[in-house]
Amino acid sequence: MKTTTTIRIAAVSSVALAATAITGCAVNPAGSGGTDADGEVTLTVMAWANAEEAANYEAAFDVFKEKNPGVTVSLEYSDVGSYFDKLNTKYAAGSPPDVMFLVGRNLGEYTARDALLNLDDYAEQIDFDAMDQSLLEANRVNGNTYAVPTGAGAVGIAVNTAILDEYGIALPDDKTWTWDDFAEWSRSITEASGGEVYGSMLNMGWPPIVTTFARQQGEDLYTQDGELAVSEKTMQAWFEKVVDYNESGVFAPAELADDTGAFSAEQSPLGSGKIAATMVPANQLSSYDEVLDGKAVLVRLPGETEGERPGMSVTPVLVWAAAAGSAHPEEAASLIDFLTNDVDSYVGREAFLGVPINTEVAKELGETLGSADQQFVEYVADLSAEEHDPLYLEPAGASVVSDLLATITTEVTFGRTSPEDAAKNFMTQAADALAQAG
Amino acid sequence: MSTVAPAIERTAEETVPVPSVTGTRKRRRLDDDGIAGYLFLVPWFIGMLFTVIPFGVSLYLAFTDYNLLQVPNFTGFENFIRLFEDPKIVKSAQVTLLYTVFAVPLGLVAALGVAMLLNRGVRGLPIYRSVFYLPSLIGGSVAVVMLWRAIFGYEGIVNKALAVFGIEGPGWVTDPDWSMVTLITLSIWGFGGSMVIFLAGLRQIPRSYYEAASIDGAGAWRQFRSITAPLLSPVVFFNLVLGLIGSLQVFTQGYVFSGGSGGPADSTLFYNLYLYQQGFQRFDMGYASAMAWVMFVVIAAFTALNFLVSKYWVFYDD
Repeated sequence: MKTTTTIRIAAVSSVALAATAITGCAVNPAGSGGTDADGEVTLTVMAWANAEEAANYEAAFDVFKEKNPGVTVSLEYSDVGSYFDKLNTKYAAGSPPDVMFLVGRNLGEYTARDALLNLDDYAEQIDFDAMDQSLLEANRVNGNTYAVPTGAGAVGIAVNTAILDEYGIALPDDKTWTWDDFAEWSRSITEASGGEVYGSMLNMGWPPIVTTFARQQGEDLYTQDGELAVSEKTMQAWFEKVVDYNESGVFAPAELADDTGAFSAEQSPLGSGKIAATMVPANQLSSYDEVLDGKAVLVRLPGETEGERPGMSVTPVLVWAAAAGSAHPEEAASLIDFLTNDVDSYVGREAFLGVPINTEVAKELGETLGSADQQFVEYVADLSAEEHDPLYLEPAGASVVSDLLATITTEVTFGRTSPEDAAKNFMTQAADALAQAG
Repeated sequence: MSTVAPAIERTAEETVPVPSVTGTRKRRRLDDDGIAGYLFLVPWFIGMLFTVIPFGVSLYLAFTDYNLLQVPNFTGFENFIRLFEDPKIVKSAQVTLLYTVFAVPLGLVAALGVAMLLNRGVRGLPIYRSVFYLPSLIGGSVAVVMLWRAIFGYEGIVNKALAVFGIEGPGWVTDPDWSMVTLITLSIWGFGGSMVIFLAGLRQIPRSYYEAASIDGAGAWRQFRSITAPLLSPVVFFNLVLGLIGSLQVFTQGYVFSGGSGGPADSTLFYNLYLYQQGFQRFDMGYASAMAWVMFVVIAAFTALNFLVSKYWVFYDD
């Protein structure tokens, strides 16, 4: 049939033509910021936030615009779960944001692929001397600064004192309590309330808590060279705690856990009154405090004086970084400097992203903070004053190891694998992941 | 079948032909129906022109190491070799197959069952049909999956309902042993799409056949086995092929349900989700592209197998 044959030939040849014409095309990771015809510069910033937090960031950007006429900042935000997918897709499309949030964990991965701007080249726009040098140093990759911490923070345990008061349970000294003390205390809450309220729930598969435990045993999660520093024995001990705490009433049932991070403070087990304590990034205390009517307090992780050394440390909450292909690197650098060193940029945001690493700004800001934030700042200040071994930057492949840890911990929690096997599996698979990411 | 009296009138609806999956017409020149067919294909063809370029690039990338941020560099078959040695591929294939093996047959059974019930001449049929069809439209959407997650949460409605009967429901969402059950249920809930097609197919079958059969003394089951099943088999085949292809490619449900992690403990790590993770979260677009093409080959093989086997059970009455 003439017509069908013609159509067939046309179809096949256009496919062949198109396929051969475009193979091997390169991707150009150029920046996305625009310049209008009249010289107005627009910077794009990417962050994860809910609507309220986004409004706070916008307020800061408005102040920046006032101080820097001719520069506008446009904020793109999403929820934390899809943030990295979105960011990576933008990079692939060749239009990454000029400035973005990153977690320290990602620095290794992004710098290994030359995706970030070397901020040392912009020392004119960024005043590095005014910042806390040890935090800056901990975030350097190969001696270069690719990111500036948004603020100093730490992990902690948020406790709902209203529940403690209700059942007449005291809070032990958090600077010296051991893991067993913590378990006992948590179990007593569950028992005192007859199972209505559970003592606590810790996300045992979260890298910061595992790192703290490893450091308490004299090890760490990663070495400075990016290898696995924790021993199988330590991991096994950790997984045994997971089993023990889940089975003996220390923790709330695992089914209550929010495994996708979709819960707001109110919906979370702590915020809704189902548990008395949970692990939080300390800068989030104020969100819980609000929900709990000012009854939240921040305490340290247990086991700090039990092991070889204290495991906690002060770390950046998040970091600001700029894309290597940004069309406006100087303006991007100025924005980062503004967000770090200018007290006016903390409007609305306050200490949400951590204690400002510029000590002058931190002092000025401290005078205006609410009580929960004051608690947070004091908590971090106390930790900083003590001597803690520095935390190394997580290597490339760290995100694979994080996922692995979460998966294996879930399997242990639901009894699908023994602590011994889990520890073995973790060691081999984590080593593979780190080796592969190189 | 040829003993059935053809004198009984067909209703207007019964004259619409059942879509035949394999072409059986043999004409020597294009007639109106032929032209109409090709015209219907034109939008698809235009869309195809847009997607052909991404297909080509994807095939090229499958042979490279491409991290989204830098220029891809050619690595030959490395991605494919790695694919066959990757334990997570095995896990994701297991998860996907488990889902398919349960979701597709159970969905078809539900669709056919409800279609047969509706075919008895229920009053307000269009309303029921729309109501049952609606879930299949929205079932794969982000909002519904999130809702499902909430309904089946440990303290959600389902567990509260079970508690009324004194049953303590498991963690439908957070327990790795139950998460897949929840997703399969979501899939079966969307049976409406296949049901509507089954309903159309059922109404094709002349009532006269059933009447003649019951006069001859055939019971309900015999009637189903000898009349409904064979005459409906092309429709079943159609729904089976599409259902299979769709289930093997599930992504949204897995992604939203687990927050992108494939958890808890990789129990919802669909092949497509793992592919997405590799491509967009692990900066390994080359590997993800290789995974995509392997999936293409596997699904094509499954479909071809389906067609081959169909010779033995699909009955076309021409």
